[in-house]
Amino acid sequence: MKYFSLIIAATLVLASCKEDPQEPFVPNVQNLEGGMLVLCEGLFQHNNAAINWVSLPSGSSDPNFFETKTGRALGDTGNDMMRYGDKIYVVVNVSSTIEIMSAIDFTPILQIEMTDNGQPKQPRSLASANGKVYITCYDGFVDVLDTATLSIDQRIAVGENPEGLAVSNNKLYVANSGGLNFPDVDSTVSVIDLNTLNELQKITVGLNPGGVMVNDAGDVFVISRGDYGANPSRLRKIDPTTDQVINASYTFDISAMTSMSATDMLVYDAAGVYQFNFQTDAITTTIPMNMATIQTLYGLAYHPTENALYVMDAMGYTNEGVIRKYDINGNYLTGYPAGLNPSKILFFD
Amino acid sequence: MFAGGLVLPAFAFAQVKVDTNLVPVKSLEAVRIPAELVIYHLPLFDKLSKEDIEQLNTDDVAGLVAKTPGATIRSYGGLGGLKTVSMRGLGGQHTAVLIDNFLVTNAQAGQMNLGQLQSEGLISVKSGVLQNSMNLAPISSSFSSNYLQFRTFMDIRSPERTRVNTSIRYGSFMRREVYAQGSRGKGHWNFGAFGKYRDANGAYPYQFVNGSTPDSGVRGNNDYQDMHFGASMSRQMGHLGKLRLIYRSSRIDQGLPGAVIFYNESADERMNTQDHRIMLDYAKHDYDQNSYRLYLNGGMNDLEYFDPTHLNAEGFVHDAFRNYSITGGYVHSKKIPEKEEDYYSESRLFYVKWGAEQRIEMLESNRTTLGRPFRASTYGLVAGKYEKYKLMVEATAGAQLVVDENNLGRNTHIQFTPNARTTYEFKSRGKRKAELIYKRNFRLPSFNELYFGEVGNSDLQPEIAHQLDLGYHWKIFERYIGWHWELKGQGFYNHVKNKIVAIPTKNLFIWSMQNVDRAMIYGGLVESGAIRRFNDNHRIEFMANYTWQRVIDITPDAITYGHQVAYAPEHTANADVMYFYKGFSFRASNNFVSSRYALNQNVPANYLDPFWTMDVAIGYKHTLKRRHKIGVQLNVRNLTNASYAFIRSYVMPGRHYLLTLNYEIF
Repeated sequence: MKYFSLIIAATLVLASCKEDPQEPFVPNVQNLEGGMLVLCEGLFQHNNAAINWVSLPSGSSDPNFFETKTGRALGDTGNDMMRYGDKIYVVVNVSSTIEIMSAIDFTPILQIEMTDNGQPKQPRSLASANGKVYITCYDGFVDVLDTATLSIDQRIAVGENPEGLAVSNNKLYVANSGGLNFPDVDSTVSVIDLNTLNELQKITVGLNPGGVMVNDAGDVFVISRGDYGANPSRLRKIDPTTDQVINASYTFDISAMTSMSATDMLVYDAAGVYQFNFQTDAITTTIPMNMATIQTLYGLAYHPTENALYVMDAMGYTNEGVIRKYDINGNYLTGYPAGLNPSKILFFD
Repeated sequence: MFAGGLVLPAFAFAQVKVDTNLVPVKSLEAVRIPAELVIYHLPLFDKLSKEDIEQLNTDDVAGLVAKTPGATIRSYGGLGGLKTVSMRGLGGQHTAVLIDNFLVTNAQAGQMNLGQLQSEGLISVKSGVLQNSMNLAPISSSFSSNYLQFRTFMDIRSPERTRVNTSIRYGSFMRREVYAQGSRGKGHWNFGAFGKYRDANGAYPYQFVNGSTPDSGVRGNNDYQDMHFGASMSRQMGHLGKLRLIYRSSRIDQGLPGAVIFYNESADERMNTQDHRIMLDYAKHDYDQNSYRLYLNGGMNDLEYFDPTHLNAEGFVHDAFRNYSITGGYVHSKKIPEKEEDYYSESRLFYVKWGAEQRIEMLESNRTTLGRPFRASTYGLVAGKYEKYKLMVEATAGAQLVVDENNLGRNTHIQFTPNARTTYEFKSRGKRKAELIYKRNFRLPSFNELYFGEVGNSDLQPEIAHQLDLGYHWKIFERYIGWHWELKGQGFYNHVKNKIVAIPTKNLFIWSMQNVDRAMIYGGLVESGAIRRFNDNHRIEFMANYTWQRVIDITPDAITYGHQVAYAPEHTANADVMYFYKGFSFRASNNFVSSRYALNQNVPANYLDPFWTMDVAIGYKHTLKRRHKIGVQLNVRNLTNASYAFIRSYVMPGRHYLLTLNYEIF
């Protein structure tokens, strides 16, 4: 009994020895070829937004590709990523920065601090046209970035808490979400003349507009996300010539969309992934994938060369994500590890 | 060197008793106790003394609680930062906080912000799993899994003279502070009062690693100002009864620096809190027969939050909350000896205790979506304790009826909290003791968890915790080298179900509180204290503890099944060395927290580095004349200038200093 306590202590110390998790193998990537960049949003106030590089089809990945290339972290809450010309633009919302990288080898080019009188603008989404990159900022503006000088030329006032945006018919369509006034959210889309950079009008599309996309014909599609309750998330369509909402009552509920081809796009929510045909203006095909195997469908990308779907599974938002690859018939092909909350993919052949 | 008040504690739990195995005495007056046998108290982290508290000189009580075995502090910053405690892997809402034997609560948050409770004026801090079942603590405090008990100078009787203790402090980050307390006994009356003012700009430099790049910064918008005031009066009623009236208030105005966000240093949010509490009780301690206590406790807490640059339509956010609480209760304990002679021999005794308590809590807010939450809690408790020779068995049965009401409707919960403890003392009394405890406890969802905007979920059920503790306690005295040494070991197992956690439900930006998780907690702790007295003016002390805990997510089908829960370190340890020579004192205080994960998934991306910090205190006290003493103390915190954080992105201060000048009339 005399040494009972000491034995307990020693046992506890020995039993508690446990190895820390091992860092995975990281490939040395020189050029962005044969793979994909995955933007992982991370979590608010965790400073853990990341860009992964995944080599296809080997599946080897660098989960901190941005850090590998820059020696520093991406920041807090990465919201959007876009390739335009020979550069990649990344929006980091809470850090309030735009990161500009080479689209050839991902060499860092410039970090732009998005502040206005010392206050963060909280950039959100990206669109591009005519040598400009347009950036929605949660403070109620769209910033215009000149891709030649890599500086912000102008700020265009729009509605509250703008989110997605897209260009059609030399006009910029900006979804005003008003998300920070929830539940009294906005329901308009601002139309901006790209010649004058002035707002022409606001179009009412439905509660809480978020994503905006344009097809090859110039039709503007908007997701109005509703109130996450009685008013469901719905698809709207705007005629870019008249700037009128020409189909305000699609009968299906969807929460997001992504481009696919000149004739179709993919629309989806937690219940399923569907092919939407622009000619028939309707869902034509349900991709028969097993949705039960996807825990949190957070994003979807279509790979035109492979004719494959890449589902970004956020795995409950607080776990590392998984990119699940399916063929166009919904057959599961393979999976790739990703960071926290993967939301955007850029493919490089 | 005569016995006087300096007597041996027979056991660690006892305050003043004589170990008759060491000193064969018939009466205290007749014996001279050898100097090496005289000790004031054995230093242990689970019962910090006034001397410990003064030396540690912490910003708030969280710094003291961090030293207690099994405690994990979650600190969001230095002075003024939100600080909560997890005891043995259980959330902060499972810990009852008592000040001068009154429970302090906050129904809105569900737990106390330890960063807002001052450490000045404290004379002891105790922590543990189960209080003495026969004490007269508020009934509801027995319903928590763990307790923290703070006792202030206002809870002790002053002699028939005025006692004054004043101090001024200057420290890093432009910290200034003045504190004064006084007390006086007069006849049957006793009076006490204190006041404190403190401010600081809080602009502390910090270091961090951004990716693989070392970086540094200065904490902005971290200014802090607080004022505390309190007064008490008590009257001795007859030989054994005492009536107490205590008032405490605080007012805090502070900037909120928020998390350190890479590339974005903006911060302009502010918070203002005011707290008023009034406490009244009458207690009669008849140690031979009946002891009882009638208590009443009312509180009002205001919290204002202001974000002047929010990107909503108004351009700002201004939230105001007012919490009301009123508690009244009665507790009675009775000693029933088997035989007449057992009154004093304490060899075979049976105790019973019963009591009831009613608490009303209410929240008002300018947030219309929050409604006007109201909670009525009724507690009932019966307990029995049996002592025979070296065996002690006690059992408690409690029930709580809770009615939650808001514009969303009404919810009623009934919960039962049985617990039991048995101890057995080996060999002679007071030398070695084994202890086994079982408790079933729960914690109610807070008003914020129930009703706060989209996050709130009015259907939440209480979180249930089963606790099993096996302890072993060993105290020895090495007569020949003069060391007193005490060792405690404890193993614990907790099972938590209906764990209340926030998870994203509709999308990443809309989280909601859910009863989804289960957790299993097991581990052990060892604690030791030692003291070596060379003579009355010369001694050295040592105290240390180590806790190992596995706090494991066992939520069925969860990806993180089997993973260590977020922010639960597997290892924590404290080790302090104190040296006293005449008026000089020195203390080196060490705290170690092992690696943790910022989220439940134990992957490298969530990994947080372990840290070790060392604080040093050097002091000198000089008696000017009879009953007048002046003192000076320098505290160096984070001596090694370690860069560390309890919570991801909330970097703590580097090395900083605090100089205290003290004048005392005792």
